[in-house]
Amino acid sequence: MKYPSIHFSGDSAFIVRFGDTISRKIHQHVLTFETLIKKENKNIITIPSYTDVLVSFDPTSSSYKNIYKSITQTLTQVEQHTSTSGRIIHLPVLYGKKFGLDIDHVARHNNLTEDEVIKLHSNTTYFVYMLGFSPGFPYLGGLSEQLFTPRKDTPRAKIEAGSVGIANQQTGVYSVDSPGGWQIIGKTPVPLFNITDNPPVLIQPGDYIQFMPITEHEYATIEKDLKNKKFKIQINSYHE
Amino acid sequence: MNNQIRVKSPGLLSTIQDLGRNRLMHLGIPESGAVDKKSLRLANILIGNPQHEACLEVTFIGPELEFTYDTTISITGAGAQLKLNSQEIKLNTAINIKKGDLLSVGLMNSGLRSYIAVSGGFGIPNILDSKSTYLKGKFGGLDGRTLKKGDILHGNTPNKASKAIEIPKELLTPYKSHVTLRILPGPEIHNFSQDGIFTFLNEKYTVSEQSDRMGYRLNGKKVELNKSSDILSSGLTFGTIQIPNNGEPIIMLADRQTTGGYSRMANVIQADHCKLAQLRPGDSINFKEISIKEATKLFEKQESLLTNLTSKLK
Repeated sequence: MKYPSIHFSGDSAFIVRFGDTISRKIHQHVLTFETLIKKENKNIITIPSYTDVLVSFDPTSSSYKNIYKSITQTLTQVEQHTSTSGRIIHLPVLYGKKFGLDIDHVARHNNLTEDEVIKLHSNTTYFVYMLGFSPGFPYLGGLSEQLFTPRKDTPRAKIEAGSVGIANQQTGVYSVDSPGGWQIIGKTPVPLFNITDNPPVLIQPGDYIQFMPITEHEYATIEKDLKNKKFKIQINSYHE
Repeated sequence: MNNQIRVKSPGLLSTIQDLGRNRLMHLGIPESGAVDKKSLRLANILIGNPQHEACLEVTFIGPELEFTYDTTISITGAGAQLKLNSQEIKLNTAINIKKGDLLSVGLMNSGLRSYIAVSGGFGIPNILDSKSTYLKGKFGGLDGRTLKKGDILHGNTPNKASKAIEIPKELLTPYKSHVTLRILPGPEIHNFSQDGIFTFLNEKYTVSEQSDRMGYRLNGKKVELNKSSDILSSGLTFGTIQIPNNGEPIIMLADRQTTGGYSRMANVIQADHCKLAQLRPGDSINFKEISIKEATKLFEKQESLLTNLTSKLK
């Protein structure tokens, strides 16, 4: 397929796609396009993701023809510049044990031991490409190829908030209890979504994430400290 | 505030909803809002509220509510046995309420969701710019939860009495247990085989019990893919039809996740969202492809009827 491409998502939205792989270059096109198209059209709603932007419009105030035209015009202005610094958030994770429901499956699928899965997953610094699926759920780039595992064919009815999962070349953290099809390898006690915080989400697109393996004892301590408002998450600045 | 609405029985699944919170979807915060937006808008129009005002969305079995003040209400959407004290009352019209009246909405007998609007709206705070309840996130509406027995809702000061109007027939969507939903092809239609697309457009699909405000899971003949259904997660709209590797379609509704990772076969057109919203588990669907031009025409017709109705009140 040739990119960029434009697709209908129903009669009041378009998907504008810039590629079909996870890459910082494609993602930069996504973010630049999103910024420009929002400047052109005040009433549209956008959801940027890895490779595309969902552009929803209000069909009572603009027609699909006008939005389509605006999209094609904006596409001619998309340039690229990649930023390589941001915040790094250190997120404690209890891998395997009672929370990592699928860590054995991920290990077997890739001919690894569970310890190797943990090492490979926590030795990488991940880039936050997008938030989606549920409030504050980060989609991360940088997962080691040795951990790629397909989603479950039939999604689970409930996955607990904090669960860390893998779906093909993606890894992420469930931010609220929800159904889902990712392979679960561990859990963080730190909430990613809190309605009384401003902003209500811990992680933002453009941040970096470092997972830190913790023991069951440390998990319990962090949970207790969170309850007493004594836990402070480690956030530093980061340059690639 | 003394304008109280006391919950004598909560019904099966009753939540406060408006037209949703759509400005934070880029942070992963779902739209929520009424599943049947047209019925919510009609309920508000009937009693002179702004169309986006929050209503009670009640599902399958309605609540019993006692009013401590004089006001006007309206009920739209699914048909149910409706009573004010022991008197039967009608759907789709303004109803005068006197202090002490008991409203009861029984079992839905046609459709799944009714909307109860009160004149002036419910006294509910905006959370992230909307009064809508998001149950999975546990916020919005009434502390992010469903109505329960003993709850007290507050009514804002009622509007000045408005003209009694009737909803024109063309604006109502009579409930049917088998529907044809019109669709536009989705962004990943090419991930499905020719046979798969033929199956999707010609077989009958049944709404499964595993359905909620997030989406309807459908049962029926499996839709064949010509590659894995998995895609890089991408934005979803109300009415998006995703088909995972098990070949069974899922139609996304109001509480849908903002992005999804399964191939998108199609999207239900906006003019058919109200039909979609009233489907009950066990009901069946056929899909029919139409053009963007036809879809736009159908939507514009519906909107102009709504505008005409609103202007009759002025």
